[in-house]
Amino acid sequence: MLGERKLVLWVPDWPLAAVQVQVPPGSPAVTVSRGRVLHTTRMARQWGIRRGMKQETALHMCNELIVLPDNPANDAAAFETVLELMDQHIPAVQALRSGLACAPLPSRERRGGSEDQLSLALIEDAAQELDIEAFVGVGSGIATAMCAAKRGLNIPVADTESFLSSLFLDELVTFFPENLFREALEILEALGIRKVQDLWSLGHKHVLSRLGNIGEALWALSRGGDIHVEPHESKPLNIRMSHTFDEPVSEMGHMYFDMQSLATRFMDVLNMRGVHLSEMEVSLSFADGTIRERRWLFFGQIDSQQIRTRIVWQLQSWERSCTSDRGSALTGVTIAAINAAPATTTGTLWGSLPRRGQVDHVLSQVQNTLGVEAVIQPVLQGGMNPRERTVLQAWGKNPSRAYEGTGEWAGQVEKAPAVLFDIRLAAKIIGKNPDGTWGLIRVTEHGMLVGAPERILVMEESPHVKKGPYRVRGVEQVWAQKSFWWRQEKRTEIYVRAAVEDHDDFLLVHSSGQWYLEGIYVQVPG
Amino acid sequence: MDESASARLRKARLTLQAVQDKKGIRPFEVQKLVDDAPGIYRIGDSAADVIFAIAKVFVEPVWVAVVEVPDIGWEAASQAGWDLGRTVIVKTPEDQAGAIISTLLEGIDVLVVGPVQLSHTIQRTLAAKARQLHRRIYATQTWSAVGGRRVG
Repeated sequence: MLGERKLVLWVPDWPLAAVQVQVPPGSPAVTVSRGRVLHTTRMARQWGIRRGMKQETALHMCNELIVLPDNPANDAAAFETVLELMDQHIPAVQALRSGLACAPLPSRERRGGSEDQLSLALIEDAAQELDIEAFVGVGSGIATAMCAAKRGLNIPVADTESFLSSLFLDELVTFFPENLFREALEILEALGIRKVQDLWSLGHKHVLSRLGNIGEALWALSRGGDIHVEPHESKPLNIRMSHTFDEPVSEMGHMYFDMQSLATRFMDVLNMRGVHLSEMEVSLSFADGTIRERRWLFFGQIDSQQIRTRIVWQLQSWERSCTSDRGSALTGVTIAAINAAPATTTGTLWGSLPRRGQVDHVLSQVQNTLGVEAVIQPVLQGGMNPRERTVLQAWGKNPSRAYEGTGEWAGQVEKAPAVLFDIRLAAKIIGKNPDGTWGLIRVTEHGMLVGAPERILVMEESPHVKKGPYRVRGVEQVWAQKSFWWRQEKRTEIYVRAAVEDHDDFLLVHSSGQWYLEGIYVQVPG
Repeated sequence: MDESASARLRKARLTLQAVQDKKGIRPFEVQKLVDDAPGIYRIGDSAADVIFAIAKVFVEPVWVAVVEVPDIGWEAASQAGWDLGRTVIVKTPEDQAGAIISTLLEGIDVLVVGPVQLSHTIQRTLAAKARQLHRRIYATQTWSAVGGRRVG
């Protein structure tokens, strides 16, 4: 079934066009990175200024040259100007990313002109008002409209099939996030299927059986269909969240943190509700009572960073209008989920990511929220004692120089306790000294216990062991881990495994003149 | 008196263990743990209980996240059958624990949740999400949700 008629506006090489949008029309301007020209406006090129030229040389060639720092965030925010221009022609404009936007086409009666007239009006306005070259395409279904925009075409409903049949598959999905269809396209490539027509020849059933859910999405796009996620519930989602400023503000200042927090809270609610966001509306409220709204469309999995980025883009655009005295002070920001579906159904739509990909995705989301060190992975390595033999590495970091786990580690503490205290508990070993007196058991500098241990006194409480004395049934082994001649700090650690009454065995360590409870051995059940 | 009672108990346990080993009988809770039904399972709160309970889930190639469970001996865990290559430890501030667990449910098969304070509403929401996404949560504390099962 053919999808909704859509209009897509695409500005090729947006960072280049963004320079044009950020300066008055007809100005010579460049963006500069590390002292070299990166992007130039048409007027600057007429002055002979080229990419890669030194900034001083460019200024020497044109002393009216406007020099902007290279800032991808500014480029993205500048796209708001294009979206505002689209708003003047067509309702419900949805931004996909900087340089790319779409809108469902209203009926002919409501738009008051043909599709071609609308496209032409947009192209002309973009050229005259913003001095940029925009490509506009119209087609049935999002992919058809995107491909039409790339060629600047209007594809009538009747021509959809013949237009799509001539496309290559990678062209069809060229505007979608790169990793969405990559694996599917690689599989099809291996089967010798490169064009949309070849995919059709394979047949719907075979595409599904080979590629699963992602194949379903690809098939829908190839047939001029839409891949909108239909909300599972008929009632509106009503997931909406606001941030109101104490006083109206005129510049972004520390707003980044507020927006990150807003985006994180919003994402948390989405996660708690188990829904996947595909369309969001960001509304900025101003002191003069006006509200500026913008809709954002998402494909694939998203996280709070992506939400925050969209809000910041909109805010940067507002901040620029403030500096040019066109903007009003901001009083609040509201974000609302327009279209979201249960996470389980988005799995059907997008196909589940490869298992490892899903894991990576959620763990990096957690790291984005709490910091890299919040997600760690235990890695075993060689070493003299259980604590040394475990390294905790931040998730996603390259495996560090873990020592080889096998081989000879003379004098090592061989058995590993099930409980290894994150923070050792202070303890004392009490018993009979060689002279028959009762007291603390000492340790010789060679790592030998002086006397016979009778009691172990655990000095701190823990969920694994109660504070208090434990009668010793036997000290099963003693290890002495001496410091090495190349270490500056001369420290000998003595490890003792002690069998005690009414409790599993203790692993104790004597370090810097003090005994500690290092761990507890627990017999393996079953 | 005490000493002999404790020795008798230890001996009885060892005898029971030996009989179970000989006859191939597994205790009830172990059978329950290899059940892969999604939802909430209650396990003992010591690191050792966690190690031995969760070792059973690695009969399948699952991913496990351990949220706020302290004092685990990872070497012993590995010896008990944990696949540490598929294990992550997550440290979360208490006020964000609900949201973090919720995020983890999106991609991790088995969550082991230690003593974090979660309201009853959040616990029920997480339980529902776990069932919906076919995930298992092993909690070391009581979890007030429909379908919570006590094991271990």
